[in-house]
Amino acid sequence: MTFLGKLLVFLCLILGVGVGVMSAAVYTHRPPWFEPVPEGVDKGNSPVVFAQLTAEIDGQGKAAGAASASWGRQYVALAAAEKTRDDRREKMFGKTGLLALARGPMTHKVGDPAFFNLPEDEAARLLNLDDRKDVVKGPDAKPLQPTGLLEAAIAADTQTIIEQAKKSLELRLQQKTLGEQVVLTETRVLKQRVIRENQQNEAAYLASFEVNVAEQRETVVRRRDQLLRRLAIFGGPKQ
Amino acid sequence: MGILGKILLVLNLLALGGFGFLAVQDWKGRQTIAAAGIRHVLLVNGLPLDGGTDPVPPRVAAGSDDFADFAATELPFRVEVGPKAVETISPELLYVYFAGSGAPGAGGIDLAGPAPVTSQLAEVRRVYALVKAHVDGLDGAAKASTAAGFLLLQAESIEDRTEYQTLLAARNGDELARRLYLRFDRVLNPPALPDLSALTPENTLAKATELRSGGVKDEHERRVRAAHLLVHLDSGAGWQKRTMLVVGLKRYVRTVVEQTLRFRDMAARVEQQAAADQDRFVGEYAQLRGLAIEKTQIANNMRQDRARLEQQVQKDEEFVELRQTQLKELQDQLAKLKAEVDLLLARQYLTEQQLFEVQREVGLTLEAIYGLEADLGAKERARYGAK
Repeated sequence: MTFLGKLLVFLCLILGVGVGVMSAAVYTHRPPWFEPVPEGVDKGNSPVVFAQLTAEIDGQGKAAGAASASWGRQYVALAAAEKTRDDRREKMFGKTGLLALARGPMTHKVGDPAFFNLPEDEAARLLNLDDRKDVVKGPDAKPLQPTGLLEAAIAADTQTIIEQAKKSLELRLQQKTLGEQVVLTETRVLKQRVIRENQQNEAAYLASFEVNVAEQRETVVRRRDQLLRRLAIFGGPKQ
Repeated sequence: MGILGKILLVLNLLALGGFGFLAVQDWKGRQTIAAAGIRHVLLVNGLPLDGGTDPVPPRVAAGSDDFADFAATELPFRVEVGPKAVETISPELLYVYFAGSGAPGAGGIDLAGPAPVTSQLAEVRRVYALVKAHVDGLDGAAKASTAAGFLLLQAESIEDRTEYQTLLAARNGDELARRLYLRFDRVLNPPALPDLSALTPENTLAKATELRSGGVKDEHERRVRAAHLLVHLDSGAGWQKRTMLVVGLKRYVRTVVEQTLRFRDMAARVEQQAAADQDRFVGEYAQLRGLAIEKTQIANNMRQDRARLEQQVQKDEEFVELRQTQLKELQDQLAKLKAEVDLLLARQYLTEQQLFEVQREVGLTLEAIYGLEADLGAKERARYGAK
């Protein structure tokens, strides 16, 4: 064997040993990704093996799914609670709600109920705002009317009372005036009656006086005629 | 060199080449395994909060000329992998990692998609730009509706949620957009914690408000805020999947659970508010009912008074009518009497005139008689007086 051969054999030995050492190093320092899940982990170290990571990902994935489902349910519950509250607020405080009805909308028909005894749901402890069968009656045993409607009725009645009182006063004054006129006219009628009676008496007196005067005229005419006849004997009256 | 030496030489060279090939294959396999492992770790723990290079270099297809340079690119990217920390990664790892993210959402804006980012804050910045461009491009009700759509899921208290709903009802898109951007700013540029060393009774409330409004204690809190912001921007499945990749499954689950609890608390608060609404309603309803009963009594009394007064007025009218009839009768009677008296007077006048004429005639006749008697007397005395 030549020197070159010996050198090559020696280099092959060195390289072989080196490759063997490297192979042993690579094996001993192989990544732990495919190791089984360790039983315990030292504090501060997070072993990274696929089995553990996959298990954790699976577990967290399932937890995420469950959490998302729960999130969705709670959000739906929140939205439902908000909608329920909004609906109830509308039914209680809205423009067409129970308070508005109790105050009296312009469209409320007289006689229609405005107040209700609302039953309470024992489980939810909330009033059933849709159950309006039990109508509240007023002191007149009729359905209690809205306050606004009652106020309007009171205002209208007050106005009517004021007008009627004013009219009554005017009528009383008219009565007084008419009474005075009646008394005055009665007095005048009485006076006229007295005058008529006097006139009638006067007429009766004049009638008898008229007879006397007629008699008197006939008498004096007869006397004149008598004198004229006597004077005719003496040649007639003096011219 | 003998024939044996030459054969050994060739065999050695072949063995060297074989070992070299095996070493390269081993290195590649290790890189692939390590990349898969890092992706697993990232999926569990999420991207780093900050750092890295944005944007990620454009992906180069395997086999193209620039792929070698692309594959050799190292992005700063610190991630804890077991006891060691990886300081750099290949952009290809991120492209592969985000290839599994959700498809773009069906809404008016695509938040999801496979675009890779190197950190959670980079994702926040990316989404912020998309959201801001989208919201600022709208106005009026559309702006309010869109901004509220992003904000309503973010609310951490019923007060915040109610404010957003109130602004949405008022269609105040500008204010909603401002509050939305403020949430991004709180994550991207968190203010420092207020100085609590000089706490006095007078400034306690102000400091507490300042503390609550923004300051963050540490990186953990920033991660919490970033995760909350990202998770609740959109409830679509695609976006949620991408968010899991960005913040990690652990943080995602915690964030979702925390918000679930908040939703539960909010729902409980809403139910309490509904009960309070009912209490207020019951009070006002009872007050109105009492008032209505009272007013019904007054209205009934007023109605009776009115009826009584109307009856009185009717009587007054009847009495007036009676008086008017009475007066008319008297006036008629008076007129008749006057007519009679006038007739009597006229008759009396005529009678008196006639009597006057007759009396005058009588007077004249008497005067004539006196003259005739005197004449007769004179003539008789003249004739018979001498005898």
